[in-house]
Amino acid sequence: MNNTNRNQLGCDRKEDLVAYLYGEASASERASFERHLNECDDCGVELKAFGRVRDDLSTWQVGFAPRTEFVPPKAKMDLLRELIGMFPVWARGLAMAGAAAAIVLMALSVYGNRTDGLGSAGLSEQQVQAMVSKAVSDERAKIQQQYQTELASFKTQLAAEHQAQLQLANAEHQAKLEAVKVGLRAEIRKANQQNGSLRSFFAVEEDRSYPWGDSR
Amino acid sequence: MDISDDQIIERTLAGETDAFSLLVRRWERPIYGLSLRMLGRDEDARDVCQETFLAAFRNLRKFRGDSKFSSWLYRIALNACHSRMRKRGNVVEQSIDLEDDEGRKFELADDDAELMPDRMQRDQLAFQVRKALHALPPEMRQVIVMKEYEELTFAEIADILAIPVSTVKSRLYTGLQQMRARLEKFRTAL
Ligand SMILES: [Zn+2]
Repeated sequence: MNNTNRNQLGCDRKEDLVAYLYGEASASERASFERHLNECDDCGVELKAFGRVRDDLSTWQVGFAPRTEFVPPKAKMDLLRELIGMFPVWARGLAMAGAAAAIVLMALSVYGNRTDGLGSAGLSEQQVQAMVSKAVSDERAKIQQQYQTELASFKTQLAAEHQAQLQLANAEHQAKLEAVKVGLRAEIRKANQQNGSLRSFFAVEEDRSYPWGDSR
Repeated sequence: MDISDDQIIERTLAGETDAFSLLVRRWERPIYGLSLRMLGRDEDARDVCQETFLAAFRNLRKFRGDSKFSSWLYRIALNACHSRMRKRGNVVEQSIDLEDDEGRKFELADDDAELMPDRMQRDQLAFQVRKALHALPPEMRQVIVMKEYEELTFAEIADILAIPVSTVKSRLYTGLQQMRARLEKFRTAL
């Protein structure tokens, strides 16, 4: 049993033996090692023993591999776009809060890319921070404006309908509006949370007042 | 149909992120096999598989194509295996999954040995092989796993581990020697 050690001490052809064993020796190396085998019993014994070990190893076969679930991380953006597309036209101004979240996500992925390698734009953390702050505030201004405009036009529209229609129609409209508001509040809360986590992530100090701040 | 790994990488980097799943389908089997034999547990192997492909996707731009994509992937997977082993303090022997592919438990039964001598002996041997493999230091285990099961060449293994070919050979030699000693001990005990 201990001839393994003897061989290690007694013969310096162990790398040749391994190359020969796995069929990775060149023709001349093979011939040379075969000549050596005629003279060295230890190598012959070891070669056989290693062959047995290899046979033993082959008893562990992996019959299957579970399917790896892989979702490219980018798909989140598309998901958000689809979500916004689901809102009725007049409500999209509010839903743009979701777009702010998309911007945040995009900014995050720029930052992530820098550290992870994808993108490798070579941006400094400060640059990314500035980009994020600017993107967030730009988007917020845009959303606020769109929100005001659409809300104003909606109010006008609603007032006109108020006058034109009876209380029944009004009640119907209120109910509809309420339902949409519930959905939007949830969406805005989500967007705000995402905004919040980004802000704390970068510790960007910003004005926290939102036109829809009461929806929290 | 025979789109190369490099072509898929190009398409992925060009924004066609879904193309990457072709690489996942192509390489999940070897990566799972490698991880399973390194860690011994199906659950860990699945996790490593997942981590490996996610890390590869995120770092795809860092892949320069100096070596094969598969070598790069193996390297990521081995790193994931090593960090998992470090986390649990490399208590490998206790954590070997004593189940075969169909979920049957390995048992070192001697009562039934006469009933199905071949099958029992084969199961016991397979169990001993796992144990012997997991008793090896990870540096040797990974070389044996890559050579025996992934059938990589010495040069490929050297590239993946960033070590000289001669080191690959000597680790294989020492690993086989230790395996031999353990398995021969088991055989004489039978
Ligand atoms: Zn010799």
